[in-house]
Amino acid sequence: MVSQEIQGLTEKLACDFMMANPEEPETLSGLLPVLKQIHDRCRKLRLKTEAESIQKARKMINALVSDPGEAETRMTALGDLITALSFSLRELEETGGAAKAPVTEDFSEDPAPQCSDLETIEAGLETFDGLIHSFCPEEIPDLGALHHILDDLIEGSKNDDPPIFHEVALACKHYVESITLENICHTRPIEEGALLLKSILSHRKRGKAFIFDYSDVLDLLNASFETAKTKKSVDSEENIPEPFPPAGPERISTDDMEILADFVAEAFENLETIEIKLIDLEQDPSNKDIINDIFRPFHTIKGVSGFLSLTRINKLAHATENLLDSARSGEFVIDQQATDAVLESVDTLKALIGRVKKGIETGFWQPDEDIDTEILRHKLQRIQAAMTQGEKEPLGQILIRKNAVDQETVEDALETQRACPGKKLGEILVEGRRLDPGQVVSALAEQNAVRNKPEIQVKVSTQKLDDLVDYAGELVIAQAMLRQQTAHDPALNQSVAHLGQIVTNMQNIAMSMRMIPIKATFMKMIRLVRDLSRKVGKDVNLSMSGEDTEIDRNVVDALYEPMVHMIRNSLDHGIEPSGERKAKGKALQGNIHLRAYHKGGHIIIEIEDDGKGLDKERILKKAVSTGLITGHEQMTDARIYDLILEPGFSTAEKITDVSGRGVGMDVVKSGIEKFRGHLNIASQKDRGTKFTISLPLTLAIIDGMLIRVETEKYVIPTTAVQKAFKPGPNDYFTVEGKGEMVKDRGNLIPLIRLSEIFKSGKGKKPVQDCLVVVVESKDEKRALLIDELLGKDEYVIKSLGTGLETIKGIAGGAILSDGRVGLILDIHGIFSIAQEG
Amino acid sequence: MADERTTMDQAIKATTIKTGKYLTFSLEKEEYGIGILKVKEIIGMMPITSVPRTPAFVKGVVNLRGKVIPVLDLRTKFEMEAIAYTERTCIIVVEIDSDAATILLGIVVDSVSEVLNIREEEIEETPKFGTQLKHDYILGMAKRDGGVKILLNIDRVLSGEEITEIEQVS
Repeated sequence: MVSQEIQGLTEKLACDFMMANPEEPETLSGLLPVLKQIHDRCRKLRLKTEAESIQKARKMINALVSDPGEAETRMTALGDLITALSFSLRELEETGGAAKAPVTEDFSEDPAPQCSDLETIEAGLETFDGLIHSFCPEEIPDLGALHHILDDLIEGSKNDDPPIFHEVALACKHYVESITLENICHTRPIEEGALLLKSILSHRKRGKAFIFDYSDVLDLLNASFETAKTKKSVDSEENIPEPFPPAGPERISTDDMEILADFVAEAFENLETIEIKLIDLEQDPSNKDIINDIFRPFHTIKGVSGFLSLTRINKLAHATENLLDSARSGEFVIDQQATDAVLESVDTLKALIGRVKKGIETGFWQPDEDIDTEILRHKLQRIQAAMTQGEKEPLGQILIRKNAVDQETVEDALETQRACPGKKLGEILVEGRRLDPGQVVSALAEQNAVRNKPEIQVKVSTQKLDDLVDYAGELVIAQAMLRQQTAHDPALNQSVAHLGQIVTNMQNIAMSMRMIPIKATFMKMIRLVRDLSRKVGKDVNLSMSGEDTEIDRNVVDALYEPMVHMIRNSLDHGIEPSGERKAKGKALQGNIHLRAYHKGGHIIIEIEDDGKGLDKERILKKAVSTGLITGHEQMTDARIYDLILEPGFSTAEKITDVSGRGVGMDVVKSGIEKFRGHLNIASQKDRGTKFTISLPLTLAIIDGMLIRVETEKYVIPTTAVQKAFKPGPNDYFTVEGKGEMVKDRGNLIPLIRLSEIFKSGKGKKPVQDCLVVVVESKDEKRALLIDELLGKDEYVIKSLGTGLETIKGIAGGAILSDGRVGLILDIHGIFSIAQEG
Repeated sequence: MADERTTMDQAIKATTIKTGKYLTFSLEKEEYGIGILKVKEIIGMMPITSVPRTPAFVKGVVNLRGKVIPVLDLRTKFEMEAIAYTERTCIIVVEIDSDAATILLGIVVDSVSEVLNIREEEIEETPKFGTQLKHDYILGMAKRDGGVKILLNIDRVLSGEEITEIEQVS
């Protein structure tokens, strides 16, 4: 059996080696797992020489991957080694190698080098881990296997110094025993144990000492056979020496770099989930599902940071996790104080992980001693200790709920239990033949089950997604061209139509992959409002609607900062203190409403408060005093409000640390405009202010109108287009022979000739021979003179390439159906070119 | 110190880089060469969309299999007389190293000649022409078959910043 496996693996190895290319390290390192498998099998068969040559091959590959010099000669040597290996293994098969095998897996007698010892332990641990995760309380063979592996692990590690591994493995074994004997189906302690073993192992492999506090895991494992299940507070860790602070900044090794980068990205994501969920939890403090959702990411952060020797992160996450775990098992209900502490922990973790991130960027570990975790950790522990103890949902109640037994039977059984303490309710029920053992097991499982399994998701880099969208767009164009060429052939035409359908579907999916609901961004605002309202001492509620509206993920990034600024402004300047509100007869609690919806290819985000509104007089006065305006202009309300978007404009009388430095609104404006969006302000005195952000749904595609001006073709974003008409001879006026205007239903609209602006045309065409397109940007209207309207379509926006991104009046390029590049007009830019003359 | 080292490195690189394969092309009656590693591909003439408000040597943009890339006319860039494009007119797509990333650019040349293996000893230092001719983008002069090939440091000839700078002036 085993030798057959070896045979298969050897063949795979030979094949893979043929494909391997020293210039692509992945193909080489792909060989490693196969070699490892063969190695394991060889060890089972006690084929020492083969195992040794496999070790040699692995070393060679590792050396090749890290330093690809002289690749050719070394690859040949490796090839020879592998050929010899597969030859001797094949021989083994032919001579009936099965006769040699299989011997019991007693590694301790095997005087193999230490390195392979570690590997067997590692392999054992892998199996162990796999077993735990698929562990199911009813399955006795599983338990047996667990036992067996643990025995091996204990045996293999008994001569270790320091004996941490041995100790933990022993504790794990005790716990497994107690599972077997007492039918406990709580597997978390053993999971923790496995994690700890793994991380000890990884430390040993790297030749570092394991210096973390693991006493709590031991406690957890030991707790089950102590009669009273009391959780010891984690206090022994003070005895464990902190790692020596490095003398100078220590370089991060390249191996670690990648893992660390992954960890940072994942941790930030996790922390964000936690924040959102914590707010949910505040509304519904006893909801176990939510606590679970918060617990899990902390657990992940703790696990990974331990693995990566990030002691401080590990400890803090651990303390938080402990607190949540008690809440999760129903020992107490999370209250305001606990939420605050957890939020604080989130912030501190963010700061710590931020340092790690900075470390990755600079290549050196960044000191983080200035971020204090100890006080917070003690606070978390204190809260945990202070909370009263409670109970899990009693087994009897679960059984009744599931209609397995009735109330009376349970009460009877409880009576019996009181008579002979120590016996479990389940046992009594089964003994009394009231219940099938299976039902008890499933009820027990439910009692401890982790609900709400996380969705299975795949992480893909955004670059790949963008590329996919690009190619999908290309496919659409290519298919359109193909259709034109095959129009005469009916049979071909049908196939092309079919292709077209597939392409369209694919493009839709590709596009939708980049769309995410705006909810996450809105949720972050809840946190902001919560913190800020406390800081400024106002009672403010944040309500929202349309949070499921989807938006391009790139645009979401653009939204966050502006929204933060505007909400700050609303809170600080807009909403009045409650005394003032009362005097005005308003509800005492201020309200900020976030609203999102789609409108014509744009996503509209409204931030509306019910505060005092913008003060026109004061804005004007301020604008005059800073020289923004002369004070003699005739201005619409919208224009006045837009003044607050100018740089350095702030009407707040005193500067607070919440807002009011006069940077902000202009940053908001430019931030939004960078993403082809617009910001509008509407306000009513004492009724409130409404900021409306409108952003394109996606940055990749626009709806556009294709027009022709002389020989050039341009695309005008449809959202800017108001109307198109053919001007009559009486609709055209000039001022001083230069300023041109057209009349549209009584309104005079300034005329812009694209050929003049872009200096592409020769001479002025009479207006009567042309068409006029009325375009609008920021409440201003202009008429563009064009020769022809060619159609309306969706266009994939492309950058014009480095050096050409910032041309005024051009937003980008689009590939037209004939394969040529068309230019997309930036209407706002064109207006300002026209203004400059 | 560090600066010194980088300039040294660059200097070493600049001298060692000279030996190698060059793609040669003609402009008017002169022969030019670009290091072959800089060349992505050579494409025939295709419709170019002109882009307004750019310097004259920016011919416009083309669609290179879905990517939009700028196309520059080397004749205009070197202030030679513009001619109508012929069948032999080509666009050489080159990859230019900028500070941040590599940029794809197309350059229009009269015709592409051949790929030559040029050795260090065939290359002569660029003579000093005085002020009327900027020559910091010329790597050197290669003597071959009685003729002279002007070897260009294409990164210098067409830096992305230059395009933007000139655009801002205009």
